[in-house]
Amino acid sequence: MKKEIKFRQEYDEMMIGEIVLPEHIFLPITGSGDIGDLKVGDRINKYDEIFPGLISPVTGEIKEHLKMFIDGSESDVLKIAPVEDEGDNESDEGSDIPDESNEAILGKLKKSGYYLENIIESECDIVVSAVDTDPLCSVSQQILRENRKDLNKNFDLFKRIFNREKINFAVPEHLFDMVWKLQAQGVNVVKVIPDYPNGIPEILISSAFEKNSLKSPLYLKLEEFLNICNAAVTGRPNFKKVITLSDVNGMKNINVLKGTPLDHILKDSDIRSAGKVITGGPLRGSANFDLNTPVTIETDSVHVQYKKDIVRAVNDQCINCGRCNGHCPVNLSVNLITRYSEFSQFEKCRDMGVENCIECGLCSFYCPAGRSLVQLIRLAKSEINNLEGEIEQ
Amino acid sequence: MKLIVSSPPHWHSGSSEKIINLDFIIGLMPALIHSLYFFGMHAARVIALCVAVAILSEVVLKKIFKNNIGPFNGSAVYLGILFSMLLPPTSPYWLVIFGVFLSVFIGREIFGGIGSNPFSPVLVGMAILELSWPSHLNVNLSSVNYNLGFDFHSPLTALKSAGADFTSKFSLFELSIGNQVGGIGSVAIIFLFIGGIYLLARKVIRWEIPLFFALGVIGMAAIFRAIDPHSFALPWFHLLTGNVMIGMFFLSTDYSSSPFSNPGKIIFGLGCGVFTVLFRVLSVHEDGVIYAILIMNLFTPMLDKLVSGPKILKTGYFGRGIK
Ligand code: SF4
Ligand code: SF4
Repeated sequence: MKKEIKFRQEYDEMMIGEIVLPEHIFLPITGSGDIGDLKVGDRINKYDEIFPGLISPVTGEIKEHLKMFIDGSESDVLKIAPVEDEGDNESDEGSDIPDESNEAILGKLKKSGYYLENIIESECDIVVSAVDTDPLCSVSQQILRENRKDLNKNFDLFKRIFNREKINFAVPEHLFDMVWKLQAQGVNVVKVIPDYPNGIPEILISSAFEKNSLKSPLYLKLEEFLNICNAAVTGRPNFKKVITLSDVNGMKNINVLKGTPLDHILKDSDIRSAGKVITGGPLRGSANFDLNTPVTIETDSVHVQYKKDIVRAVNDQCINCGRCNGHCPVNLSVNLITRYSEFSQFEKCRDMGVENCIECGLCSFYCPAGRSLVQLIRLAKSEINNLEGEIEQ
Repeated sequence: MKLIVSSPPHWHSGSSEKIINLDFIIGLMPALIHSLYFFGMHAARVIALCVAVAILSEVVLKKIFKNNIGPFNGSAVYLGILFSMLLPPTSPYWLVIFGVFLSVFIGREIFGGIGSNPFSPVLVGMAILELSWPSHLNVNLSSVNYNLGFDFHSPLTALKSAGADFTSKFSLFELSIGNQVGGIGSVAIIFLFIGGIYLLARKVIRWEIPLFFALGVIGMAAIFRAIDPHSFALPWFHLLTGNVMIGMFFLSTDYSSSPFSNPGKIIFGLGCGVFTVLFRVLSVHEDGVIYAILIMNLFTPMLDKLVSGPKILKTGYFGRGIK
């Protein structure tokens, strides 16, 4: 066992470090990709609204309009060269709950890029989670520790904005003491054992809130929750994102500008010979082929593996040991499903419930034969999708 | 910087088939050492022959079947040692060669190698030998050349021929430290138990099969004992004699021929225990472990259907995050 492998997501308090402004940032354009009159060479200012929902995080010049793979799909990206940050004065607008009307608050949220009407109107239950999703990541824990004093104010504000009686809040067991008092103000605080994969949204909502039978839940990371609260007070979005950078030698938390390319983060930490750069955790994340890939709100962790640590697939014959089934959080018969998938019997995979797989990667992790179980499951899923598509047509 | 990409997961536990087989072999070591101490060169001869034949047959058969999946990973060594543990020390060499070869050939390779065999390979070979040459496997005849300092009547023979009252002369302590007649390793009860605990601690096997195997033996024997204490032996006697201990930890836990689902494992273990006692009491055979496990192997595909099915996760999300 390599010493880096650790599923327990319980970490001591760590400093959140800062890094210098990168040379370029990459700003993904969500939605239509229509940026109006803006063109390459234009200068934009910090807090400029590029289009409703997209606010420029820096002052700088647009260098390029390109396409990139981000979080598994292709999207339009603006490459911006920022000029020195003149620093902002977010903090001097008080952090008390504003006495303004709800309209005024919603206006501020819109100015920060949050259009929340459909959530406010819907009946969905809101789940805020301070449990980290990936091993080797302590972002949510650190944020909870740093913001524990303001949580009661923020929950009150949040309940008012969203017009909810009750908000659900999942916290890791070891930090429960910090927040249990919130229960008095209509927050349903639930303890979660901070072991991978308990923090994965699907598992969290199905297991930790089993008794609460949530209605079409909306999952929010604690960080997003605080960003919204902050925007409601100040009228400005938070352009920063905390990430955990880890390799064999250890891990650290840093606060970076969203859109910062991975390249810059690695250079800043003096990592020069990475073999694999994984975003999204070592068990579920993707290995990046392009170091210009920017940090987004989804990027909780960046894990670096060096050439000698990289795991190679072995793919021996299955010995039917049952370890994969034993570790599967959704209780699938992984050994049978993957063998069916190997021999193209995808209908059988569907009958055994392959769509329930959340691709946590634990089956492959434990398989002594080193079989590519998750890959086979993904193959089965996509083939089933194709089949169903054909039937519908 | 050249980057390597692959699909997740990017970690592996580091376990491998080699390590698992090594663990199984280590689990058998206490019993093996006990057998060398007791039977000396006779045991060494049988063990060495078994291992050599197992490796050789695997290599040759893999060539013939053009099966190059699953390279050498120690499974043949384990199979050889396990087979030898069941044999009497005086087994003639042709019997050993024949038995091991059949185990590898009919027990495993013919079905496609490791992981595909429907029966525990060792038991297939043993059952053929026992049905074909029972006299050569008769532990009582084969032990007359030794002076072991204790009664060398197999306790199970005594039970079969003289009834339960006669069994009182075997002390449970003597039985458990291996002072009884039987296969060279299968009598080393306490040593097999230590090896079994090692396997459980290393998580190589799960606890369900051994525990419920033992419960099956004890429960069934207790029922018979309650019916007639003069003709049926005590449950402990059944547990500490013959192949029960080696069966519990090593024979029945063969990965591919035992169920992988946990409820399946429980029924499997229970069935093995119950059939063992039924064979001992009702059939002409003295020990029924081999047949009991083979019978339960037949049920494995059915027992694997007992998995509780996927846990259906909550669906109908409103969303994940706010963009
Ligand atoms: S990746 Fe494997 S262990 Fe995880 S849910 Fe899917 S089948 Fe189960
Ligand atoms: S863990 Fe691997 S070898 Fe074991 S049953 Fe599952 S697929 Fe087969």
